[in-house]
Amino acid sequence: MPGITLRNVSKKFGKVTAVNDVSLEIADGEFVALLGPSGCGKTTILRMIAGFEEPDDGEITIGDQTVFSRRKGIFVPPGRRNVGMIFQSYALWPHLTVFQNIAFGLEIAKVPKDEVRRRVQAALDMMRIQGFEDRYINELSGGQQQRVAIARMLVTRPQVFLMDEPLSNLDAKLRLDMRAEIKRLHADLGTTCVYVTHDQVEALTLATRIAILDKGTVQQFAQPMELYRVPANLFVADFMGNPTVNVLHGTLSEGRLVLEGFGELEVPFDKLPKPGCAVIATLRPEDVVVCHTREPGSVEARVHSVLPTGPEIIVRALCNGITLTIRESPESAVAPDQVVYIKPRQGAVNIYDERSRALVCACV
Amino acid sequence: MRTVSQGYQIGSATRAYALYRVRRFLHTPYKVVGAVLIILLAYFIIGPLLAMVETTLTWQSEDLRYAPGASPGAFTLFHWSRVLFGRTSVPMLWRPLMNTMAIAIGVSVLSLAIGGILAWLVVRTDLPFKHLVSALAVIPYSLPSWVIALAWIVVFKNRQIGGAMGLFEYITGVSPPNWLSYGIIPITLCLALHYYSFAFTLISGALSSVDAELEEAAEMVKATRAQILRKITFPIVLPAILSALILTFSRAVGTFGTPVFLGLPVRFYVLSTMLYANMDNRFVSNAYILALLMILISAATVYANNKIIRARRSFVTLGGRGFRRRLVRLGRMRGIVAFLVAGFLAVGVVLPLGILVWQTFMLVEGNYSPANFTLHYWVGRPNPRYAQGEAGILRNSMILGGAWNSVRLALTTALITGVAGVLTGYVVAKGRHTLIGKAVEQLTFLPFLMPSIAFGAIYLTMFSTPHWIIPSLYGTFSILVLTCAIKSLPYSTRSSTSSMLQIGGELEEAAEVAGASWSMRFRRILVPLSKRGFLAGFLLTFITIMREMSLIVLLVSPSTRTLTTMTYRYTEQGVAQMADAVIVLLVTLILIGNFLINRVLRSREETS
Ligand SMILES: Nc1ncnc2c1ncn2[C@@H]1O[C@H](COP(=O)(O)OP(=O)(O)O)[C@@H](O)[C@H]1O
Ligand SMILES: [Mg+2]
Repeated sequence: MPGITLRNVSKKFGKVTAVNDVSLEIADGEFVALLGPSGCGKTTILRMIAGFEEPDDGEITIGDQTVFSRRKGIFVPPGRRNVGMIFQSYALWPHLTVFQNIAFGLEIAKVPKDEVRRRVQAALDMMRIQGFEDRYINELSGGQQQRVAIARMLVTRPQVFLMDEPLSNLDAKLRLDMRAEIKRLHADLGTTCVYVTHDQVEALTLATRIAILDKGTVQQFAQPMELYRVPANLFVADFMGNPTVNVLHGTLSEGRLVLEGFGELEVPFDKLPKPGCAVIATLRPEDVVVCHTREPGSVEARVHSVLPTGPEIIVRALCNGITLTIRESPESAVAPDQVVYIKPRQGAVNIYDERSRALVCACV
Repeated sequence: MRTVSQGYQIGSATRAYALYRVRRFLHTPYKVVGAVLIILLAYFIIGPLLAMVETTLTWQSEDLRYAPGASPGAFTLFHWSRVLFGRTSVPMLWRPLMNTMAIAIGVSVLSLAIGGILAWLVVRTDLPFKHLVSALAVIPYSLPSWVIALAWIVVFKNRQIGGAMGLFEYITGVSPPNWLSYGIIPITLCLALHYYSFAFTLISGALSSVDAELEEAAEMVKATRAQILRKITFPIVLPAILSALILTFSRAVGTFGTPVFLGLPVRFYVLSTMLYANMDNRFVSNAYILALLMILISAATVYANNKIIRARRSFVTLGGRGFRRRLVRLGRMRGIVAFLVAGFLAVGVVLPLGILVWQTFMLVEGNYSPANFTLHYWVGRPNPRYAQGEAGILRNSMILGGAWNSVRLALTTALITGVAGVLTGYVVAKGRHTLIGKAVEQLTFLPFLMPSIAFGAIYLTMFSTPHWIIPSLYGTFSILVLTCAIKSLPYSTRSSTSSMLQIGGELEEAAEVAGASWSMRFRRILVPLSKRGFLAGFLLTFITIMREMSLIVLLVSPSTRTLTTMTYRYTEQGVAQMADAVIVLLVTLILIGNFLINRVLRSREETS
């Protein structure tokens, strides 16, 4: 059962703490995305799993093999961890042909010649790049190179796939194609995947679970929809979603949430944290309900600008000095300077402690 | 009891961890290679330097000549105080130092002016025949720096020094004054005609990397040509300009050949020639003090250069994209400017070489009539009346031996430095953020700080006697190879580091994750991929060593003389035609080498 476990793994580069006490349990067959802003330590974690960086502390296991343990003095070099990796640059060898690139790992493993040929052919078929065997890498397009890189990773049948921003060098359309390709691959082979990206759409579409990282620590490790609906803290809330979530300051008192400039909100009794504390409420743009007439619980707002994107319309509105972002369907007829009445959708507000920035109360 | 067993456990845990660290170290190839390299480099670079300092601070046996009471080996400040403040300190140190400084400043300013203007004309204007101009403009830099000095002598020699009449006197009938024939002015001019090439290369590189959009943005706000040049272009290429200035200065401080040919006849000394004279007269500690001072000056300038580059690096927009570039129209000036450039290249590049070739065909020096034409110095049989009875160079076994020595030395050095450079580059690239990588990088850079003549001086005494496991190398070919290889290491390390940064990164890791051992990765990935950089570095070192004189002039013996040092001997003996024929032979070899380099590099570019 080739799951991956990281236990209290830390890594410093000089004075920079790249990874700080990270623990992750990745089950067999999962597709886990490591998601976070640039410099948060995603690549370092991946490279520690692969064995290219040695952690300062902690323990890493792949399947039932401990590949690193500071305490037990174990370090298994990359070549003996039975992992496959796609690098951000693809790292295809320019002095070798496509065939030689893919066959390299099999030759190292001393696989018989005819089996090499058969397996390379199978990998080429799988990635639909038959007929390119004798080309050199610089004779291929970016998308074809990507396919070769994946084929090279597959062919040795590693127990784990590691991918570091594999799609970041492709243009938008190709990226969509390759995303589908990778998802299909995972469905077919069921191999455990760890996928590094800074693109949340990529993570949301591909992963079965996502680990959100910031400054070297895991902020939340959960399924995509949970991350989106119930972010564990304000960093995750702000990071997930495009356009970003609306942030409202307020205070809690006697079962009510008083939001600055946005009126009051009823908080159910059983969810009530300690009253009187300063909180921050978040509201997704699609959870702002727009009415054209005053309704109970709604507040008046003035439309600032209207930004159609095709399938939807992003509306910016000013409400008592606060700017709100609202996602509307394309049929919605709002115009700049129009006065509208808005209210939060039932059960869509999350409440966070202003000081600790952690979730105190979800789905109010 | 409990505390004891706990203590034992803690002890064993730390010991186990220490063992683990050692095991990890031994399984990290770049660290092992790096550690070996650090030991070797310390031995070959730091060791000699320390030995040199020690020599200047202790009594030497040769000091007994004038300090009979001294006990050799004991500590003393005698040498330093004599060189710095003694009776002879002015002719020994201060005057050569002033001369060196004056020449270095003059040379760097002049070369910058010439190189900068030429670079601007070639890169940014519609000057005609640009390719020819830049091809000619870089020639001086691939030749020995003193070729022009030899040509200068042919033209401006005067008869106060003795010998034959120069070309200038033959034409005008006037014997040129001493200040025009020898000393600071001709030395500065000749060196500038060599080093402008360097400024040209550096500045034209910087100019062509300036994004035209930066200038167009200024044009949009209606800035004039002059304003754009002054406010946009100039500040952007300023780092390159300062770099050219400082590096030229540092090289001019260490230069040896030109001041030998144009200074010694009138006893005009700079630091390098004074160092040589001291070494020749076995005043070793004096020579070493001068060497240390030269190293100090050179190190200070390079340090200043690094500061400037680091502070301003963010300015240079080195992009990979090919910029569209609109060229400045020279308009009516185009013809005039082209004429001036052609004139300059004719006088500065073609004429000196032409004069040297011409001179080799004169039976009697200074007689310019057609009747004096001869091939004697090329193919003549020995004749006691000419060239001290030596045969023409193409049938002279000694000179052909020298040519073979030159080629052999350059090839061996290039091979050794090339291989060493691959290893040092690998360690520096892989260990960029580690102590080992930084140590190797710093150590390989050290020889760059040492002027060649000083470097040669260090090796002369360091390896003249048996030293640890190394036997005495005095007068052998090996000492030349060793010296040249170490001195070239900074260049080969630099160039291979940049290619190793790519190859040694993900390309190697991709093989590692596939299970390839280090030797396998080295053979199958690293070596094939660094072939091209290796070849380029190999050829560059080859050319550099072919033209090298100051580095080896102290180290050659009669059996290991190269073409460059033979030129020096012939000039000393006053056989100008032989000296010039040798230099023409050398220049031909270098130009052929250069041609091959360009061919190889271009064909490789096309295939890749
Ligand atoms: N080899 C290294 N040496 C020094 N610092 C490094 C090295 N690799 C990464 N870092 C630093 O560690 C932090 C995390 O880097 P990385 O894991 O590459 O982030 P990400 O992939 O999330 O962008 C960054 O601050 C980066 O500068
Ligand atoms: Mg990264």
